[in-house]
Amino acid sequence: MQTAERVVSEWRDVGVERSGTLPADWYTSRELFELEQQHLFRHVWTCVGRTEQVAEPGQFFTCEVANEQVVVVRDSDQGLRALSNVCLHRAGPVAMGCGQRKAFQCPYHGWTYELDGRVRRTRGMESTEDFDPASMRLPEFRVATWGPLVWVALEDDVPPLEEWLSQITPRAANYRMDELTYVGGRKWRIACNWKMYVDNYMEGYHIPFIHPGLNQGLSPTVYTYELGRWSNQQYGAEPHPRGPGSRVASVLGSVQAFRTLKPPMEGLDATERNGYYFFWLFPCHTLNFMPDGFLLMSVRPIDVELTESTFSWWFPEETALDRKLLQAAVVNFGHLVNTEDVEICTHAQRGMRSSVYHQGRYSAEQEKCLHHFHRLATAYMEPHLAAATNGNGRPLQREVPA
Amino acid sequence: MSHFATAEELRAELGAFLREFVGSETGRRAADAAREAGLIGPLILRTVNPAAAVWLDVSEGRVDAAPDGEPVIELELEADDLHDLLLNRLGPVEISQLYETDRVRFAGPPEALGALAILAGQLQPFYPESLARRGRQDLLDTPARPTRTLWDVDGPPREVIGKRRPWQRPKRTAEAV
Repeated sequence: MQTAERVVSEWRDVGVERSGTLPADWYTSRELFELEQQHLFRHVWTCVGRTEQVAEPGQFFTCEVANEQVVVVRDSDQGLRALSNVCLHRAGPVAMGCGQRKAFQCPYHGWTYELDGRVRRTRGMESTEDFDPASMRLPEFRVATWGPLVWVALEDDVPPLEEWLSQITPRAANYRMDELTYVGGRKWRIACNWKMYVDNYMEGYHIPFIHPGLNQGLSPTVYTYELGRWSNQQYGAEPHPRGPGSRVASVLGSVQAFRTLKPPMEGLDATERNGYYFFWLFPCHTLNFMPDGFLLMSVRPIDVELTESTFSWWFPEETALDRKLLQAAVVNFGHLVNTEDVEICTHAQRGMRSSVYHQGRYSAEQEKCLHHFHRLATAYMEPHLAAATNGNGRPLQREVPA
Repeated sequence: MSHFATAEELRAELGAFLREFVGSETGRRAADAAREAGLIGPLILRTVNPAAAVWLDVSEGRVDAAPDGEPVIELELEADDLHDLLLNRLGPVEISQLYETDRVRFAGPPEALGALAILAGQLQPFYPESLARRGRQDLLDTPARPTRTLWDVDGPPREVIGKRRPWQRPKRTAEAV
């Protein structure tokens, strides 16, 4: 029962077969949104950019993770660092955008920093007492790479990235991501809570209704779910026998016709050639392995009911126009599918504000990944919700379900 | 301001390169392949800014000939976008963006559109070669737009749910059921 003191309603996990879905106020509570920034997003790996952006010494890019301003830089010794992008003087940015530098300089008062975060020069501070710039450096966060992607974790309690990605790494091998080329992407801003948008990715249950094109391009009988520790996997096969309609039907006809024009990438096994591995990685990334290339979807909570989604595409390098057109058809289809998702998420978010909707039920068969996500998210948040509710005790120990 | 000052200029350059293509051995092989793939009959290429129209019938090796019947494929886009496509200086994301923002529109049977995609790969190299031969270095030197872009969409998304797409099978009516 919700009281005025509670941040959000309690969620009780009694298994996917018997649990209710996350209560509606988990999607609308500003207090919860702010607690999530602190207690969830600081304690996970977040993909912040591409290795090619920081390939050479001095190359850097800036980003924001859970309200933390970060600059990722390749330092003079070829080391990759994630430094606080907040000047130690008056909190200005030491770097802006992206580029290549020999040192960072805050544009506010001109303090300069080495690429490893040590303070180099503090102009006009000569008369300041008890001030030793030689002992000062920008705080540093954990940074790691996986394939072409750069990841940052703000806190030390996050498991190593290899462990975080352990379900995905073996599957990625045949796609040879290091040999693929980044070709750009598209951003959406969606009027919904970030969990609403992530929820939507977690099941194929909605595909026949929301995605008529995708539905015709996937086998009605082969769609599987597999849970990992920090991730889960959905696999959808292209239809066999291949029927009418298409994953790229809006552009190029049936799957069969499309595959005649554009064979899958080389080196893939039979399931990879004939289907799609959709991985969700807790909490805000999806890694999508396709017969044609790779799509990363990054979700960024902006406000309690505003979410940013970024699609980034990787394909084998192509030079001929016909090959690019066929890749464009894949991009176009992915964007169409997401436009459909964006629209339904916006509607469902409005539904979460209804006075007569409190929570729903899971399809035990088709929404086990959704349940998995809710278990992980609530495991991170429940101890802090209890503390926030009681307003006195220490946060309880987080127990992440295995 | 388009790279092409007038429709006549645009038609002249497009006509010249397409005629070179259909008259070449590559063009003749492409015609056979297009026929096999289902691209039979003329296509009309319409541009805006400047507004021009060029007819192409690859299987018959004809350019700009008045068609006997309806076009099999209709393609419409900005002249400068067509120029960038034919200079092969757009990436997959930028090409998709043209379609997603209605800057390129096409209609025709899926098989024919698929065949057109393959045909585009074969005819594209003829365009810069033709421009060079015709002394149009100015058009070859037009600035390329950035590629590998991250397209940031601020506006509300299109409403697509429940809208029937042209390629979808028609809904069964009560009588049909």
